[in-house]
Amino acid sequence: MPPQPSGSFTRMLPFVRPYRARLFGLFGLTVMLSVLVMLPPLVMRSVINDVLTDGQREKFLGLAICMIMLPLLSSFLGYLQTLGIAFVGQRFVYDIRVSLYKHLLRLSQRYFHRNSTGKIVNRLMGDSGTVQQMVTAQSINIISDLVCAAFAISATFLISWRLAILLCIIVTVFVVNYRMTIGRIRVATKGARTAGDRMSGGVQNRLIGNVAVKSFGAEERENLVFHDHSTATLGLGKQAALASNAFSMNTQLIQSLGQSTIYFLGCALVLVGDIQYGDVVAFSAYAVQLLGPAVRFSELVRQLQNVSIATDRLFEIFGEDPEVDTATDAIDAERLTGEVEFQNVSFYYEEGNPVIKEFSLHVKAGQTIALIGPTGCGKSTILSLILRFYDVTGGALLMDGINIRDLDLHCLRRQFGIVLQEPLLFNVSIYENIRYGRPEASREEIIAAATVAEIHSFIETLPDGYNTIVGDSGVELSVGQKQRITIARAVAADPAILIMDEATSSLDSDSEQAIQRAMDRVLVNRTCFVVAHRLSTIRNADQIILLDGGLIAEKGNHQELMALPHGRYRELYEKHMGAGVIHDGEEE
Amino acid sequence: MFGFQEHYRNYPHRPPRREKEERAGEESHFWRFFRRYVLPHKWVLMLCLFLISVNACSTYLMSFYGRLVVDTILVVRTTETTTESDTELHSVHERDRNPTELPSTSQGHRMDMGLSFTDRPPEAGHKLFVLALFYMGTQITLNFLARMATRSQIIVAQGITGNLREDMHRKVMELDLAYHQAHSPGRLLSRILSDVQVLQDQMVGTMTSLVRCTMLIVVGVTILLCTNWRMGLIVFGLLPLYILVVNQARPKIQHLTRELRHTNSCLWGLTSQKLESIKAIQAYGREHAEQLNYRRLISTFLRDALTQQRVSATMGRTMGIITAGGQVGTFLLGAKWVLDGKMTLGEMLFVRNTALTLFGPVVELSSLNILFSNLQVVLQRVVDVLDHPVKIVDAPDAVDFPIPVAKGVDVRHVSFAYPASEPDGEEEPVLRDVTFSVPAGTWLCVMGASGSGKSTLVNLLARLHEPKSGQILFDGVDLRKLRMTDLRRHIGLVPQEAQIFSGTVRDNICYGVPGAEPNEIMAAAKAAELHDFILTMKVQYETLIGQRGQSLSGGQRQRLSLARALITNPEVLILDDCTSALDANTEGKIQDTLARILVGKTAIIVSQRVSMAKRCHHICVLEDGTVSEFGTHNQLVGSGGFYARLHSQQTE
Repeated sequence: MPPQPSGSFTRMLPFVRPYRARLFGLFGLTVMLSVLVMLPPLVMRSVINDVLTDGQREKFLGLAICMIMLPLLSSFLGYLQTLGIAFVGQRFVYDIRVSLYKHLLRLSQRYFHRNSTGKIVNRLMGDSGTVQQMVTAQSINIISDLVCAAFAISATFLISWRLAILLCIIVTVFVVNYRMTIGRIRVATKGARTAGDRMSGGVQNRLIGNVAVKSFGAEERENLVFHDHSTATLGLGKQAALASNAFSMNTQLIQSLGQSTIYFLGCALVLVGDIQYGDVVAFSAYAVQLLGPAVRFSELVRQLQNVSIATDRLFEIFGEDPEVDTATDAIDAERLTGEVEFQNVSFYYEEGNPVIKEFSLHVKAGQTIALIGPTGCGKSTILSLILRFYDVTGGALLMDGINIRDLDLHCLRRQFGIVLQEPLLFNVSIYENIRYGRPEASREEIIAAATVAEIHSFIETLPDGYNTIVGDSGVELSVGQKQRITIARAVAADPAILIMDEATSSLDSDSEQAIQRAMDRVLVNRTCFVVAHRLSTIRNADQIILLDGGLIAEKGNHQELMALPHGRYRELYEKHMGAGVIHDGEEE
Repeated sequence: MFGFQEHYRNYPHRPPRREKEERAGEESHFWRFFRRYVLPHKWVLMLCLFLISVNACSTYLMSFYGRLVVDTILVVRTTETTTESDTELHSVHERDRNPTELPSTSQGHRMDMGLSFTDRPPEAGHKLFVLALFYMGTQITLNFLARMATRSQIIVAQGITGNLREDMHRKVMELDLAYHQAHSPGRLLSRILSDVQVLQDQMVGTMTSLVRCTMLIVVGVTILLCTNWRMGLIVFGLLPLYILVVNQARPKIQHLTRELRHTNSCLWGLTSQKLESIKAIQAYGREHAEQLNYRRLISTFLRDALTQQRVSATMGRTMGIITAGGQVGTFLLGAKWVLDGKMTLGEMLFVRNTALTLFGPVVELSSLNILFSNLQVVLQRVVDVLDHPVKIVDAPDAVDFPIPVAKGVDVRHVSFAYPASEPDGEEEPVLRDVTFSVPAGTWLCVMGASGSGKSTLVNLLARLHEPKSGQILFDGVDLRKLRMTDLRRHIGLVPQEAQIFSGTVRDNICYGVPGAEPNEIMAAAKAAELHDFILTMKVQYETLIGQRGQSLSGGQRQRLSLARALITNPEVLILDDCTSALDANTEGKIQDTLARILVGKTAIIVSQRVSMAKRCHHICVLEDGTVSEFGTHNQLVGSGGFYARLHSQQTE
């Protein structure tokens, strides 16, 4: 069931409205231009018939002026038209992209979990381009095709109705040929593309896994696989190319045979005295101009469908509402102390599948809370709830005694510094990266933050110092260095609450130690939530929460938990620290 | 730069575009490529090119037929509205006509042209019919020939692509690890696939258009000179003007197109990067600033797009005027001459059509040099890969891997440095004079801070790199003397970053032993503590894993990679910190299993964990590329060095 074009097009109206005057102007221009383009064959016909054949020399001058003026006028109007299309089209897509991006940034984490970045970027950049094409170039084309076709048909019928009927037959054959073959070509092309995707997927796989390929000596085997893929792709590609070659040759043949039929029958009519030679010349010119629009019209439905698919995909994003939003009567608190209270908080991503159950916890300002537990026990979810990436589905989450739903969202998030497992750095200088959380921070504050994060001396050794560009396109840093920059960023933001989600788990012990030292200094006077699976990092926490299946299994500080005779924390801790492991001496 | 206002384009998120550097010696590549891949098909190709250009020249033939029709059959000629009765002439033509129709005005007096015949020939209708048959016959024949030509051209081109692509793939597979580390998979992929595709499309396209245009121009000019040189001169006068306009606008358009493409890729990069980091953006409340970043970039795009459109529209306008000038000029002048009786109408139309046809190929030919330089850049990239020397190859007198390993592995004075990133930069040594030995059946644990050269050492042992100096001996045989496939078959290497192929879990585990039995696969999975997890999935061992194993967690990937090495039952197992992403519990279990299955085997294990080191016979600590400590656990704990420090950190 193809989507209803009208529905998606009405949604586009708000974006078209600012340019409606220009669009109507463009349409008028297009009509004029199309008529101008259709006139020269008529003038030529007059010249051949009246002047050259009948010798009416007095008409020659007027016609000559006509012939000179027409192309000048039409190339000038064409210039205006191109500029108009470019302007309206580009502005239109600019508006759409900017407001789409703005909307995207407000959407909740859930949306980004469900949709891959590639998909979203494709919509933002690709689909908006398709829609732009439709609004400008295609609609202009439709108009100009309509005018040209109408003009050409009436002109040919005026010149000779017999030839005109013949022309109609030829155009029909032309379109039928197009319709009949194009499906086959599309199928062949699609097949070739699928095979090509498979081939490229395979190559990518092998390139990424080149160490594995080498270490198992599988190069020759992979070459054979590639040979198969490549041959299959080439075979299908050849089919597609041959099909489209046959098609274009058929088209060429129909076109040239059609034209010559018209030409010679026209000449025969000249012999009979029915028409004049100039008529034949003009007629041939119109015949050529009818073929293009005819094919485009036969494609119109498909194009409209494509556009409406693109529009639907585009407006689907606009249809997504941010789950978490600032309430209208939100409180704008300047600075919170860092006191957090969970009151019977429960949460689910999908109804009936609770992740957090009846979670209650009171955190005094300045405390460090460690969350531990097996994968999927809800540690990271609790962090997301504190940051209000999601709203709790039951109970309440209070900060300084205020429900966080009543706080202004920006104001709430300003209170946090976050350090995640994967250090997220942007493609800008280290300085900009550290300053990210608080753009108004002074240079001294940035350097102070970097010093606290134990990264300052390293930055100083870089040739460009703080101006070094990092990120995908910048200088290569180790994970530990990147992580320390994100810590510096969190420090520079001067947050009331610090959130660390497995910040050190992908680091070696040395970097971990360095970060640990940095953290100890950062934590002074700040509330901190830490998720870690290395227990050595959390021993000094004020409260350690062992979560299991969304419930608190054990709670207390290190000493308290170690005192529990068969506590799970104690068991974990002993295992981690290597107690009870056979030493090499004993093994031998 | 080009006379229009240059916008400020270089700001964060839009680094300046890097110009590709011109390199000498590209012609030789061109010819080498040509000889190797194109020349074998030369006869077919030449025939194709010939037929395609003949087909192109049929335009002239068709105009010529038109001339014949006008001049000798229809005899359309200016009527001087004077004297002479046409009764006699009427009678001549009576039989050609439908007698009921009124005579048209074109049947006038044609005595004034001084030609040998004075009117429409007898049996004009018959002649017209014969000519029409000829005309259509020519078209059908040419079309048929061109069809055959393009068919075989397509087939030849596909064959070239296939050969080239497979050569590239083979080469890339052969190239050593250092090359792969220097070139990202994405870049290599685009060389193997898209660059080769571009070569196929453009190489043949360029050749065809070169031959076709030359042919069209030569034939066209000859016709013009032979038929009416004065008319030809007008066209020759306009052509330089035309080329001038095109060549003047084209650099601007190209410049802007490149900038646009660059901005566009920056936009894609920016949006995908920002959306990946949406957590940080929202957590720090920087939505507004990000919106401004985006707006700035997209504004640059908008401005450049508009400028580009304006420049090309201006060029189009000027070209349109020149073409129209040529058309109108030739037509009007021709009309004048026809009126004056200097030319027949047929001749005039023929010459005019010929002249107009010339515009296309001339412009196409003048733009061909751009295509050529593009082609050379692409070719250069392809040749770079094909010509890159393979450094690690089997020695001519290579021997098989010694099974079972009797003496063990000896590393003697090994040094290694990665090639400098800049051509004149300093090489940075990674390993310096590393010496140790691992007796057969014992395990060595390699420890050290990140960047101390552990992974490099592992890669040297698997001969993924070659040491700069020193030797690595397996049972006294130099690594370089061992057959590479045999060496790697008997060494089980588990790299630090697990490399997972898209495919099923089973395919991944039995990658090294394609025909492995299900119970072997399960045994390997159990040893890697992965079996239980696999059983929780719906289709268990047949579960499809996406590219790079993204559906798996880091720990699961590492265990999968371990299972893959274990199933080959290697003589020497090399583990490169392959349990780093696991939680303590699973890590402990894997250590237990390894301790069980590794009994009697030789193993070199890179690890960060003291718990692992304790299980090993010897421990080797690398610091800054040199061995700083070597000994058993008990020896090193007491020495007060790196290991002792690590031990105290990790145990209390």
